[in-house]
Amino acid sequence: MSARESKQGLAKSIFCVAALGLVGSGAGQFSGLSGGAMAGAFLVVAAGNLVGLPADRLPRGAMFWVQALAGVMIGVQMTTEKLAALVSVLPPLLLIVSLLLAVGFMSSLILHRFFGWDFMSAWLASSPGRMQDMIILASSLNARSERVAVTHIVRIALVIMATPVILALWT
Amino acid sequence: MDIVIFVLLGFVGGWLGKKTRLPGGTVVGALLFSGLGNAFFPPVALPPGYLFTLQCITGCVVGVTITRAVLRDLYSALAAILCNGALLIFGAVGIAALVGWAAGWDLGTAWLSTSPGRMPDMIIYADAVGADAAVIAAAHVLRMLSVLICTPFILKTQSRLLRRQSRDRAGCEERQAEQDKHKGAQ
Repeated sequence: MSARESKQGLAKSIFCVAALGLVGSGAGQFSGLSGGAMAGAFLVVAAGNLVGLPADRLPRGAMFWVQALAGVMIGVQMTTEKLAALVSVLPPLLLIVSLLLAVGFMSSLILHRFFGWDFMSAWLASSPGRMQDMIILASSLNARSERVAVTHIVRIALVIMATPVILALWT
Repeated sequence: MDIVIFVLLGFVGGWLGKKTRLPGGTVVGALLFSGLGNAFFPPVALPPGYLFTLQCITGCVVGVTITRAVLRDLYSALAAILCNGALLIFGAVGIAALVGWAAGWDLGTAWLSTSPGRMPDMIIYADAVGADAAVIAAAHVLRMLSVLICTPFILKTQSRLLRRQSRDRAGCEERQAEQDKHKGAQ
């Protein structure tokens, strides 16, 4: 593919993703579910992708924008009192992290014992770490990086879909 | 107008955070730098539509990763991957219930802190449900760092266990062979 074709493909994909995303997030917002806009955009873009629409690419910096804007969102609400309050929540945070690691470890043992995955791929796929880090580790340790990537993508997608439902049922 | 300064500060912080290559570095950098703005400028409110736009972009960023190729890979290990996803989500729900009860957190904050999703997504959800985004961000940074720290130890322990198991198995086979030999001689 030439550079020009690639640029055209990217422009087409951005347009398609934006249109699908707006439809999905609008419908999600209309549903009244907490965070429905995000789940709606995700579902419609993914569906568009699967039915063959050219909605599989975004500019490389898209994730950086999301992360920076999410950081700004907390930053503008951050005060010294709130920062001080964070110290007091350290024990529950440590409890959360150790329990999540335990659940991830259990899940990796299940993948290893019952589904025949090598332990390294099983741990990297089921550990509650950042997807990019786990894929990089999998590639460098000769684990099944494609399995690790798909497992993390599915985990992220499941959480995005489950969160509005869990919040609606719970709160 | 001040919000532009906060956003610019956030982007500078995010860029610097990204350069550190630490997990969650971009979010934490943006958070710290735009938070620093609070010390020098009057407090600002986010413009209307900020959260909706962010939710829309985030949904799109995750949605583009679901391609036919991903589905093909998924089919080959569907049961294992879904089992893993379900276990992590149900485990996280249990942990959220426990932490909500023990620490007295509201359930929105508890779930978004324990959910095995991506930090930016959970922070955006937090704003939508009025949960404590700072606590959620801290939980996710700690989670990502702990996985990176623990992974070498877990893999090393596992390979040591496997080596010991194979050594034990080889020893057993050797002993069995010797016993068979003795029996044969008798």
